[in-house]
Amino acid sequence: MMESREFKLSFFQKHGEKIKNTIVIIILLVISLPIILSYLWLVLNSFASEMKYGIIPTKFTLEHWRFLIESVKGYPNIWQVTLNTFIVAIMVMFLELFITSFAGYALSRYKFRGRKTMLLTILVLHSFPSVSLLVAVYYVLRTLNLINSLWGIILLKVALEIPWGAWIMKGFYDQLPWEIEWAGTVDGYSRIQVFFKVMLPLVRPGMAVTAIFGFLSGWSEFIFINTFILNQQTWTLSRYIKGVIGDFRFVDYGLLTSISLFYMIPTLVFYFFANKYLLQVNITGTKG
Amino acid sequence: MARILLKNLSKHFKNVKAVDNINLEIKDGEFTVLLGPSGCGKTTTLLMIAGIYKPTTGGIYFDDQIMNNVPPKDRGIGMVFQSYALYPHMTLYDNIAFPLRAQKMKKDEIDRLVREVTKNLDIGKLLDRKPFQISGGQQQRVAIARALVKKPKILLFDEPLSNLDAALRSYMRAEIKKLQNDLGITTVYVTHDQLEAMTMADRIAVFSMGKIQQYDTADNIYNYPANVFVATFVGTPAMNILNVEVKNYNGDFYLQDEGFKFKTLPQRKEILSNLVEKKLKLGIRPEHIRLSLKETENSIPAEVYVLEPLGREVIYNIKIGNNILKVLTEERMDLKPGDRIFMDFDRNRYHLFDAETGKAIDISIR
Repeated sequence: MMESREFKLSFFQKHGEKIKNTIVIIILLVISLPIILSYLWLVLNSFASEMKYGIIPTKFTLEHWRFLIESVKGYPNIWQVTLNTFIVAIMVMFLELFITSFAGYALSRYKFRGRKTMLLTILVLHSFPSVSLLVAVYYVLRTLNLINSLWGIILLKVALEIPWGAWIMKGFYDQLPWEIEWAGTVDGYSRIQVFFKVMLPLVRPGMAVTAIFGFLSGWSEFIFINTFILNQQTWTLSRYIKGVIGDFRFVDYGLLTSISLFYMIPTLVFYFFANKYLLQVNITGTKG
Repeated sequence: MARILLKNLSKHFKNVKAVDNINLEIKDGEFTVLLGPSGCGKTTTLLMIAGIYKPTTGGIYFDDQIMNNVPPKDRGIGMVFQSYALYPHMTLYDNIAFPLRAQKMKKDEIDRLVREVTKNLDIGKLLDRKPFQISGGQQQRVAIARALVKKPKILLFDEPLSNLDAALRSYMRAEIKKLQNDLGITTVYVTHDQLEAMTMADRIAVFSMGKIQQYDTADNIYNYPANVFVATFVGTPAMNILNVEVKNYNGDFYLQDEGFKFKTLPQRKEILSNLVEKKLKLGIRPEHIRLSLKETENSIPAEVYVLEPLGREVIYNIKIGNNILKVLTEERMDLKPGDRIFMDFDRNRYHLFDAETGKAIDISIR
């Protein structure tokens, strides 16, 4: 019988994995500290009436949240603004979802001339800053008589979000094997029936992702609203916050932080329900 | 039930001729296997029969009716895919009922048919589950049930067993054959596995390079291969192929190359006399070669190269001249690599092929 001998390991060999992990966590913490601190400040400030050194709260108050009950002087009713924001976000989400569900399928399944060019242009288009479009868009909206209208904003947002959404949906359709689609046609359905009965249910995670992105991009839209919405009654929350900061008067930090938190709630709720779908996003290259 | 006829059928993908002018008739109720290596056009042919691919030229007929432009849903076919292609978001019951719902059938009628088809396939208890909750073998049977439930005129299989383990594959081979036998549905079955083809098919169409090399019963394909490709593709271990020339020495005809010469039977004199000095390929099946330790009449010396024991049989690899031949036998001989040995083969059972075209030369004695 051979006697088994223990292999001698150095301290680092024994604990290497733990040390490495600790170092990584510390580095990540330091990098994200500014973000963590600023959110912390936001929460503390909205519930405190006095802050020591600008960060340590001394007195609890709900005073800053009074805007939920009564209109703040000089600003429109918060619920009207919230409703506007929801209308924009939800309409952008639905229209984008509707169009990209079809567009993504076509980009994934059909070979047509210029498909590759289209896929590449889509990405370039998406990286265009919307500020650079403002002047041209102004003329378009004026011609269509959509200045000062939420519909103008919605159509604009949808148009700008479609390329990105179509690209994401294409990635999800790409993962479905042809055989499943073929099986559907052999089983007695036309291609369009197979699309609705088999393909769409299978890209549900993709639709969830596109919906989230659509909703959030509508929810957080600022530049177009700031430029094309002049009427206070058609403001959305981002414009409202801008109003609180930007007017020539004393900035009410309590109000600002509370409204900012209020503005964040839907986003947080959305992420909470959707993060499992977001992890599935797979933006595939141009295949075939 | 239906007869399938493929007439001058071709399918081109850009510049590639995936299927190149094939003709094939599959009789009503027949089990036909399309056999060939990957990329030979067999699956493309199947997908054209299914209506998923449109032929570039030529015609597909079911019972004398041209089907070229009929969409898959109206062809009356059932199909089993390599990946099974079950609908992941539906229960097994819904998967199997899916083709029936397309026909707007009544609920209790659907239920009756689903129960009927699943009874024999041993999946009746699993119907509430989703495809990812069952094993590969069960998924396979659900796929078969889905193909059968609408009572198709034609059944198509695309390499249905290649994702199963060996034991299950052997079991399902027999099951599918039994099923087809009982139902008598015209069946086209694509595979690259010659064992599946040999064991299941009424007739086999051997494909290579987009063309049908031979279309015949398993026995005829094995015993009378039409060319070198079929001869070497069908059978394990593959047929041994040697380059030879026919020589006439004093009225006796020999098959000869550097390092060996085989004397032929006098009955073939007439046939072989036409082939003298022609470049040929000699094909001998591994099981038709005999080995012995002592020299006998007509045997030639060889050297043991390597042994491959299979349990019941042994494959002896032997070297004559520059050629390595495989010999399959149940006989155990105490041999090791490098040993001298003598080989002989059954002079009634060999094949000659034209070295240029690869086509078989008829050497049968009448």
